[in-house]
Amino acid sequence: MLKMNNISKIYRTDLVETHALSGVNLTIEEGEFIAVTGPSGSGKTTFLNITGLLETFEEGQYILDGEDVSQLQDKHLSRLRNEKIGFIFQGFNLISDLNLYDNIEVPLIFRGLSKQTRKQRIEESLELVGLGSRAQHYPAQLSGGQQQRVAIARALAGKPRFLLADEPTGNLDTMMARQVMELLQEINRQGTTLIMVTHDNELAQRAHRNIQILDGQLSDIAKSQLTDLAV
Amino acid sequence: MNDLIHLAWQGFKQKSKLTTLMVANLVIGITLLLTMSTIISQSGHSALSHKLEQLHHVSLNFMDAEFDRRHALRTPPMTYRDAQALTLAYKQGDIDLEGLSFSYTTSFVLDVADKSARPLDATSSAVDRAFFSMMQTPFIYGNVWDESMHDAAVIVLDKKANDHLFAGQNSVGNLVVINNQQLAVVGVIDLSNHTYRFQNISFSNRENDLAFVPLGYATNHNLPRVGYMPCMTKEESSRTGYRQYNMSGLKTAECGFIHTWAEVSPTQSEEQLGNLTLWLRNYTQQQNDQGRFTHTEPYYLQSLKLLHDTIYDFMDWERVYLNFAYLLFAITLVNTVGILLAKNQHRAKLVSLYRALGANRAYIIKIQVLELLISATLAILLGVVGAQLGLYVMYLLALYQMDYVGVAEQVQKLYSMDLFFALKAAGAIYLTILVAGLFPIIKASRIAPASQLRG
Repeated sequence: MLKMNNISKIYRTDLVETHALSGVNLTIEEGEFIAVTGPSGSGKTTFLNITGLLETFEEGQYILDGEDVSQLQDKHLSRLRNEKIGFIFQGFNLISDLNLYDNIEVPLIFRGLSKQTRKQRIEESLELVGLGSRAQHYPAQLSGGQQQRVAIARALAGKPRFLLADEPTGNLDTMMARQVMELLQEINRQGTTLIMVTHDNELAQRAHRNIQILDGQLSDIAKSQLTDLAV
Repeated sequence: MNDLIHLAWQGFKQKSKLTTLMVANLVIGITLLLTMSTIISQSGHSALSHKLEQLHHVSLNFMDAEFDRRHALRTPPMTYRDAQALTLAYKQGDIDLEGLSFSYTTSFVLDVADKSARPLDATSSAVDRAFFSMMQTPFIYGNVWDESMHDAAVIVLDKKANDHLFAGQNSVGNLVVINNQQLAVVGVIDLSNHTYRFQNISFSNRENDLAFVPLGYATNHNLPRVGYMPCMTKEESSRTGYRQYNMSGLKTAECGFIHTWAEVSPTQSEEQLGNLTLWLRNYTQQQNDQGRFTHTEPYYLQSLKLLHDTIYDFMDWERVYLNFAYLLFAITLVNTVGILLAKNQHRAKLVSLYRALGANRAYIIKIQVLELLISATLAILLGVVGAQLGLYVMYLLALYQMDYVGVAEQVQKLYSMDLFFALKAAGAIYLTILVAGLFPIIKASRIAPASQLRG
């Protein structure tokens, strides 16, 4: 359902060319839980941004759900992002001026769903993350873990095929991080493909499959190797 | 659309201090621009805008050879005998015109026979019957006097005089008193649309005619000649007498007091004007043999448009202020662009989030254009209120400059906002703000979302 063939991404300045990704080949099947690890600056986030259609690439082919996205225009890419992909960011990226209900409603508005459908989806997703009673609260009134759950609810409300999480527990304490991870695993068990970038090997071990990015090169690694890498 | 408005409203409320600064900045520019452009627009407005090229003020320059006219509004009115000669030529068909009208400026105290109202000091005109149709004076009650009544004791009142003397009721058939003579009211007209008293080319914005009496009646009853009445140097000493009582002397004197208006057909204007010019040239040449019309410009034929343009030329200060207003508005637009850029810099993360959540560039532009229109609407509404205050202040200043001798209602017309003009100006301002705001809006839509959403 997601296939990358020989994807390369180069950042250019006047003086230097940086190869963020070089010849990435990857296939991800529906329902997988992939953990992407690697040292800082290795190209993890670039990989996630390209996967989430937030960045373009110079070379290669990217097929998402049977559709070659390489040549698509902004309008089409935005629609795919809205309908098929859900984002979870390390810093939550909730809109502080909006309450939880309105925060979750934003991507549904972009999709053009009716008010009634939106209401139903928002209530369902808030219930799923255990914040059903707090729809009218504002992000500032919640703990970090709760805010990340709202971000997950926002991603889930659109019923995406892929959930892309960039260090989803990076800003959380251990207990909250565990709760958020359990929630993500549960969502994955229900069928949503989960691709998570993390530095944390313990979290990475929860994934079905581990991918390591090193100097822009991507490779599958066995779970047993994760501990060694951490050392 | 509701969702789009909702998101735009959210955007409008974000960074409220910057939004307030932007709106306040626009309000100042719009206030000044609307105030000055309204004054200029009203000053250029004519009650007979559709006849600007058809109505022509006719003058035969009987003055001394060294007479300095100074400008178009100091063109000498006609002497009695020249007016008689022109009338005769018109009646004999020597001149082909749509209409010809004679009038002079007078003044008297208007009273009512039963003393039910305070007497009114009325600036007025003695006019012929043709005057009303040529000047298209709108009658509220009654009509102009009959053709046979050119010297009868009848009067047409302006609405203001009728309001004062008859409490705004239909006064046709009632009697008013001038110099102990009773005159019957035959009609009431409304000159509230006439910003200027252009009929005697004074273009006064202080006051307008409050009553009109037949020219024949005025000369027979020696109603005074007021306003601009130049005389040849040899007649100067008698001028006071000609103004007040010596009508028989004035009829043969070289003193001009009769304003003459000729109306030409829109389809035959060139031909008719040529015909009239020829008559004026021949007449002045013929009179020149008798020692008259020694001035290098023996006659003037000036369109109403030319006279309005002359007034516009006098408005130097107002035009300077208007240019300043345009300049200030341009500065406020530049400020608006700067503030929008600053606001969007602060909101780059939000725009990036919208993009990540599925908004395409066009949608981001739509949200921000709508947000800008909300700001512009608010600024324009406040600007209109500000302009109303500005116009009121300018009106008070104008009254002060006139030492408070002007009729407040008349003066206020120049300082009143015309709804149609205000709508047109608002539309143009909307468009200008939108064009100015496009650069920051498009720039915001091109933010690379990935760079803003990390951490």
